[in-house]
Amino acid sequence: MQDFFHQSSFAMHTRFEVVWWGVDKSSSLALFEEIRSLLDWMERQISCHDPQSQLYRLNRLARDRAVPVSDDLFQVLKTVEDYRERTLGCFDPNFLHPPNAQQTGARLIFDNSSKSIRFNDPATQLDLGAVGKGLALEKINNDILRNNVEHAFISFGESSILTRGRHPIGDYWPLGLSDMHQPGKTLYAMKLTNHSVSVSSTRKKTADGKAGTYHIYHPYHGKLIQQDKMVMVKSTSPVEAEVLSTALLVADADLQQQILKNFAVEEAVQIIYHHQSPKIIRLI
Amino acid sequence: MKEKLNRRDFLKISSTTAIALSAFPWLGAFRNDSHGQGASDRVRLGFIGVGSRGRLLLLSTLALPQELNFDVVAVCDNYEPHYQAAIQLSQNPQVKAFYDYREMLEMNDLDAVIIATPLHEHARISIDAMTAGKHVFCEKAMARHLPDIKQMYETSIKQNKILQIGHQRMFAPKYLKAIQMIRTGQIGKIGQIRAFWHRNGNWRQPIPPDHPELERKLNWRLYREYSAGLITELASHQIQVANWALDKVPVSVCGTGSIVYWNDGREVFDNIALIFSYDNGVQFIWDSMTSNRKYGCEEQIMGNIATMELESNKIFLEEPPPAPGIRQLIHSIEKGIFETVPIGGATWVPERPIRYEGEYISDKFNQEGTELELEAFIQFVRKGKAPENLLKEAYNASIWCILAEDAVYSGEKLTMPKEYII
Repeated sequence: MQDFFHQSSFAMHTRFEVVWWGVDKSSSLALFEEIRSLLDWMERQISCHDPQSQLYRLNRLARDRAVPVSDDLFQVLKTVEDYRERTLGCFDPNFLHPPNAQQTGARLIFDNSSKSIRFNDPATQLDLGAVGKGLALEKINNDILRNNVEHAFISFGESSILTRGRHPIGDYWPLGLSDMHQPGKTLYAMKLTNHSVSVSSTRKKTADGKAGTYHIYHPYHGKLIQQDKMVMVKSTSPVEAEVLSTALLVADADLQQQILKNFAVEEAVQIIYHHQSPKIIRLI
Repeated sequence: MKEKLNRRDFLKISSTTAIALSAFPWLGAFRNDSHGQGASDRVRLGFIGVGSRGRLLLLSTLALPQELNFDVVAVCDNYEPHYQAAIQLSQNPQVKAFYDYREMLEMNDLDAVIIATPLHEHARISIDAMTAGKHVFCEKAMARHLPDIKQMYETSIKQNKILQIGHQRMFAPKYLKAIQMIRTGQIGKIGQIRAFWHRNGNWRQPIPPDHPELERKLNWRLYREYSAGLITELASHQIQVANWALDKVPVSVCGTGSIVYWNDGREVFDNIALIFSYDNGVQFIWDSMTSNRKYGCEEQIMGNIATMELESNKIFLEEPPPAPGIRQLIHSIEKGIFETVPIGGATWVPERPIRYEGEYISDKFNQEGTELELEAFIQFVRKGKAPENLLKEAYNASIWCILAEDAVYSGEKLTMPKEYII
């Protein structure tokens, strides 16, 4: 079809892909490069792996003293702390998983006048991996709207998705949640127009796309969650989709409902496996 | 990653990693399993020039399997310490040793010579050897002057003798795999090649304190009478790689050079930048310096699909191939189908720090090609011939080295004189 555009790149430690239509190719290429620059800039702010990034520096220094950060990172961390409270500690960007870490006072001390941050608990080390792609999708959404892209499907690693408008020959973008044990087999279908979807799983993906080892630690007690489980959240906010898919993955049924009261999401689904046999549970 | 392989390994990986032997005719040397075990089949080798590189060639040859049925029967060097060391290293009590290569060439029981003398001596010794009926393996670059390079090439044809030049990258598995990937379009259309060789050192051999007259003999690389310095000693390898990757020779070269750091009486530059242009518009940019080693040695071949860094054995894709769900989405749009796109499953978790670090070109082998090129030479000598393109690659690399040097000193953009086109 005419004006159909696809490009991919590596960003945020995964494969970043855009599919959109209705825009001429030269404008599309220019916009893609703009987005790539944006992602490079974001990684320099929020990557905990990059020794050049602000977050890396914060992790290194903020246990001892207040560290000035950019306005953007300051706001991001305030937002993240807010989400930690709203998810009752189930979304926790502290990757050291200390036991009993939840809900016990402020993790970060913010100084609004100097835009500096200090860790309240010296064991704190921040990893924004569970929310970084949502933050990026939010900025990309603004970018593509500004550039008159009406119909788009944007993906980080096929687990963090942003859509605008519709599929070229349908009224929406048709999306299915794939079975972690049978990749490609759809367990649950969603219709997306101007939405974001985030998928989180207790198992990490192997190089050949299959389910590998467990990798999620419960933020309450620091134990590895050894149950085959996935959560998919559909929201108009890519950041909230990311935050909730992580939080709902670790929360039990009661806690899930308490958390969901604090958010306005459109759809949330949980898949729990018993001997690799999936059970689909609608949370909303 | 396995460090070394022999001919048998090589044949094995050729079939498993899809290195097509047909694309590289000189690899046919490894197909021949018949070495004969009799004395009449034995390849008898002599080494001329056993300094630093010559010593490595001698040791690499002696490390080859005995089933190749060869002997090191003679060594030659006109510098006493090297002469004595070569006798010891040869591991042959019957080895004949010479100070004058011409006496070695009179030996009837000598099939081939391996030459690693200073550059300015390559032509005379190679031509004398081939004229005396010996096959020749000579270190790169071929010669100090354009007419000598041409004469070496013509002598090989006229005397029907092998003249193999030491471009070991033509035998290194990662280079072979890389060139094959280039030929099959896997990095796309090449727009530019960059190569550099940076070191931090004075590039000098120590001179015995009581023999200052040995300065020019031992540090021949630093004097223009004997060498074009960094161009003939280092760039020659990388010009060969660029030509090989493009399957072309340049149409022009320009450049500049200077002595920035080592103002120690040397005549050759310690800082050089060259640009070679090809008829399809590709530029090959080469530079070298000897007072900083941060960037080391690399050849970067840049296509519109991927970049290769050959010394590092890495390929970096411009765009990753689509993930399965996105691939299905693209297919459905192209075919006018409206169907559900499966995403999600297990979670991708970053295991590599920071950023995309590329993939290995050859995921099994990172070996350089010196032993394999020597093994091939022995097999070529036994057969009495070597593939023509092996010498042509070396010829063009050497010619363009000397033209590059002329371009630097003249300040002009130079093309190849017609008489040197083969």
